[in-house]
Amino acid sequence: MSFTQRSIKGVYPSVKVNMGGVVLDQPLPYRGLDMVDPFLLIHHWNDVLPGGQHQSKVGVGPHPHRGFTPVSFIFKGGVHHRDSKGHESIIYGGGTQWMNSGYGIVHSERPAKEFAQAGGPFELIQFWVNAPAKHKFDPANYQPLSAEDTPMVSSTDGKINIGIVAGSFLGKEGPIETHSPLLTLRLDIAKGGSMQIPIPADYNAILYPLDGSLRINGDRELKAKDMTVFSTDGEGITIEGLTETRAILLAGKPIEEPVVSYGPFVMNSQKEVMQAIQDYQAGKLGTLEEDFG
Amino acid sequence: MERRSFIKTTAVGFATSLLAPSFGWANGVVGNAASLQSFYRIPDAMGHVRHGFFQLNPIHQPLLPEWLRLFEPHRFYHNGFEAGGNDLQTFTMKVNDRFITLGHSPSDVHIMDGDDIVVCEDLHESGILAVMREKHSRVYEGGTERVIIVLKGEAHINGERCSPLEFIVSDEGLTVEQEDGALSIVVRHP
Repeated sequence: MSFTQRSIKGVYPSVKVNMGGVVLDQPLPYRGLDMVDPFLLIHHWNDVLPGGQHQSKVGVGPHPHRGFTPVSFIFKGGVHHRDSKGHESIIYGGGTQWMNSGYGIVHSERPAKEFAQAGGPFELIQFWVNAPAKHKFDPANYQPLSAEDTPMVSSTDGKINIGIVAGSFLGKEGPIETHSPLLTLRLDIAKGGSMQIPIPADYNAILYPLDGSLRINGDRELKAKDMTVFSTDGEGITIEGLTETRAILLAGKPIEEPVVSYGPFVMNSQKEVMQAIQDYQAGKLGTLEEDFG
Repeated sequence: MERRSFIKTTAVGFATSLLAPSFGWANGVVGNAASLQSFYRIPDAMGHVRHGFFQLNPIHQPLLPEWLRLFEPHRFYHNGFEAGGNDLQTFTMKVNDRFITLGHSPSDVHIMDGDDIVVCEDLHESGILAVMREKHSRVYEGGTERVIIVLKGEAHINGERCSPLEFIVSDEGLTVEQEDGALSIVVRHP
């Protein structure tokens, strides 16, 4: 059976950025690449917590968002989410925190208390999905998804396991409700594993390996932290693990609306961003008093 | 917070007071009525990559009048990862219970006053607030406490150069002259 492969539009290495004192890898946005509609940002935080820390001193404290969806894929450790709507949950490796910020929300994202105290590996990827204008002022909501509740499929050679967070993939449905059509996958690829990954025809698509190395479409090698953007000229991509590799695939139908993104707000105009700042100042996005127990 | 005084003017004023004690420190005016002034500096804007860690932190400055609170300025990177020419910069203040935020990029200046958003083309004056873009000259009579904050470019206040992120508090008569590319806020006691 034929399978037309999408060509590679570009490969973008990550850069180091300082986000409120946390140094992390950022492949998107990048010089010359502001977004891959509907995806606005990818942050990869990989660290070893030293331990002996109070939870209030680690992670990212209360901050606002409006107009888009920040999503965290947790790989190592656990992330304690608290927000101004009263949601509070800890998600561990393999799980996902999906938050539609909508009209607005204030949240914090910190290593779980036991990791702050004991130390150890801590790794997550946060990516941002733009929201269509008609959803930018929806009430905010939060959808936690544990590793156990994430539907899985495997390659026929058994060497690639894929978690389906949102969208339909090989007969299974990701449980997350989204504002626009998306396919978001978590891939664990053993050395030698090979698989065709179908992607809906009108979706933009990004592949980002956290580590290891891959061969794409039979001829292009991709190393860790290089983000690949694909054209929409094929049915999907073929991946092969050159070494043991973890990766994420983000695909979505472009929203094709004006985007004005400044700091923690993603709106359709600068005026709307200013309104978000003003509303935050006035407390309309909510407030968060963290209880560290 | 840094404080820069008119050392030259103060010295002249002191000498004047020795010669003419009736114009000395008793009434707080020495020599030129607007000569004893101090400029204060607010912190540089905090830069934000996309996401950033945005919080509104007040500037602690005991010499600000009670009716006015200033907050740290912010610079949101347009490209999401480094400072550039199209960034959005914001500056917030609170006059009694009223938040006022000014947001400026190379192309636009927005003034957010409570629930109102106004685009400032050139000069905006409304109630207690004035915002001046580009080359302007204004004279303010004494008797009302005012805070003048220079956000961009340079301005001269009573002939003294005031640099970006410097502000002055005064109830004296003031002449403000700013050059092309400058942006200033004048807030008077409500």
